Amino acid sequence: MWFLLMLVILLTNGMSAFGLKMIAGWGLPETVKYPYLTAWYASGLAAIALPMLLKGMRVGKTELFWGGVTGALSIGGQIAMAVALSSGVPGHVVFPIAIGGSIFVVALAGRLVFGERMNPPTALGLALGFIAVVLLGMS
Amino acid sequence: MLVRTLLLKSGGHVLTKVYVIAVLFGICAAVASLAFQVSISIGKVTVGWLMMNLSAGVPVVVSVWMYHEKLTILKVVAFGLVLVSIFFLSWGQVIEKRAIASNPAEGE
Repeated sequence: MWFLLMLVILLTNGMSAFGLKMIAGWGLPETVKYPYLTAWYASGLAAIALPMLLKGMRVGKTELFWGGVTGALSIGGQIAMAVALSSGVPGHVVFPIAIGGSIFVVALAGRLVFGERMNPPTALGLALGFIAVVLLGMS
Repeated sequence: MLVRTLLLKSGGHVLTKVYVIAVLFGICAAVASLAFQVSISIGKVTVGWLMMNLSAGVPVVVSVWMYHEKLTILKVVAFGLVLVSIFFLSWGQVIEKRAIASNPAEGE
């Protein structure tokens, strides 16, 4: 089950960002990204909300609160990245810091909040994955 | 995004294919988020989050294949590290599963 989930995450999350590349490849104007992203978010919301509605599931205050917090933090991160890039900080500096930083923060939270312990292969895999993600951000 | 979309000039005709890929990849993103949520209930949040970030390699591979983008040494090294990392993460998961199977108290 865990392996299947990791494969699903790898493929679906990776491909979810590919649409903007396709739009760029089609040579469409820059403004097309706004209706594209609106439809992208709307379809993602529908894909999660519709099954919930059909099953009669309800969203509680706790889910709304934490959803709002993570959403606000996500927007804050995007704005900070945009400000850094527009201030002249090179992309090969901004992206590795943003991606690597988020992994570091989650690893720290995993250890401090959830008490996660790593066996040696997992720790080595995390270290190598961290370097790989930073290199991908630089490339 | 919605406001910017609504403020677009009426002449800003958007092709159907743009909406088709938006829906397709939007659903992909939703499935990824759900898979991540499920994965952290059975595995480590750090590993699941790392996998979300390692997935950045997938569009790079597809871009090299579809758009014949240049495969630099940096990208090759990064892809190699992604594969080795996934191998070690999977190995770690197998060890953990065996440890839990032999001593269920460890999984709590």
